Amino acid sequence: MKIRTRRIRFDFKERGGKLLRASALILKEKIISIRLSGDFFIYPEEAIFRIEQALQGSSIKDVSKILTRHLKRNRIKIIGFTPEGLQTALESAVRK
Amino acid sequence: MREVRLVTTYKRSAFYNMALDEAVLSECYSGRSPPTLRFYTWKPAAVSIGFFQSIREEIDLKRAEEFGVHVVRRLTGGGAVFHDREITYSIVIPERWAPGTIIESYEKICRALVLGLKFLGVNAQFSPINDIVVSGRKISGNAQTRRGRFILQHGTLLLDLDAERMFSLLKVPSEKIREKMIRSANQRVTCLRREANKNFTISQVQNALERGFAQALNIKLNPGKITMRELKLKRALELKKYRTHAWNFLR
Repeated sequence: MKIRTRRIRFDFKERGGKLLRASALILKEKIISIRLSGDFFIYPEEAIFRIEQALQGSSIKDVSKILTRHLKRNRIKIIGFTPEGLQTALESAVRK
Repeated sequence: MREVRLVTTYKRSAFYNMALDEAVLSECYSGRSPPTLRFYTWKPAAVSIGFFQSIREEIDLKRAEEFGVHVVRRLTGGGAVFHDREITYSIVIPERWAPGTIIESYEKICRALVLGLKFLGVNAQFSPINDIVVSGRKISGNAQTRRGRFILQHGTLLLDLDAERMFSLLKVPSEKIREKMIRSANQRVTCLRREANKNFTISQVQNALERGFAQALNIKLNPGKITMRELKLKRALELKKYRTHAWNFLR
């Protein structure tokens, strides 16, 4: 059986937030890999790599929950987008 | 009163400037250097991109090369900035001098620029998250990072604007334009010359900003020099980080 992965790319910006550009490889409803870029802020900055790793293998419907838990556990702060906003943007991008 | 070393380094390369910012932060964090305020300019002109930005998505690299404009990734987040006719500041202070949330600390430090602009006759406001605007147009962008209990915040103040050149180098995301329903670059960005209707010299601007920092943060500025240790660290960071493809093309 052939396994179908899909590459999705999207730009998204919440009201009063920063621009987030995402590129993700999706299999069914799961994230195989994701890369986030944009003019947002993450403290500490190096946490971006762990955030991207934490989202690998997760269902799109769980992105907000997983990211919120990861931020809290590792005392990471994001300024410019929210976990809920990222999930909504991913959901909307896979529907297209 | 809290004392801060004041340093000026004009006309340095993008790689020098970013490496020195990190070297000073590192030395302050290690307790070997005092809190520091540095003013600097860029030669040649340069574009700096935020830590999380993709260099290819943000910059027209071919055009940057044609124009002889350097491109460097910052250690701070935020957006791409064209450093040409402007002055940049960088301040390293203990976190407790600008307490509260991260956005509150931006506001506290940005107040220095708002005051500095006021001394130059321009009425500006802080616009969260990290901008300073005059009549809704951006005149200054700011970004900060933290190491331990130290904050480094750097930012620019546009003295003059060549919007055509600026936006020919930066790939402006259409989302941003759409959200703000703004049709031209001149409506989004402004500069000191336009707002003050006057040409100030760079040292007049720096003097006003120094007064702004002194007042906003209640600090005394002591003119000083970069230490040998900072210079040595700067050289290493410039060579092994800020000039490298691995760092600048990180994302």
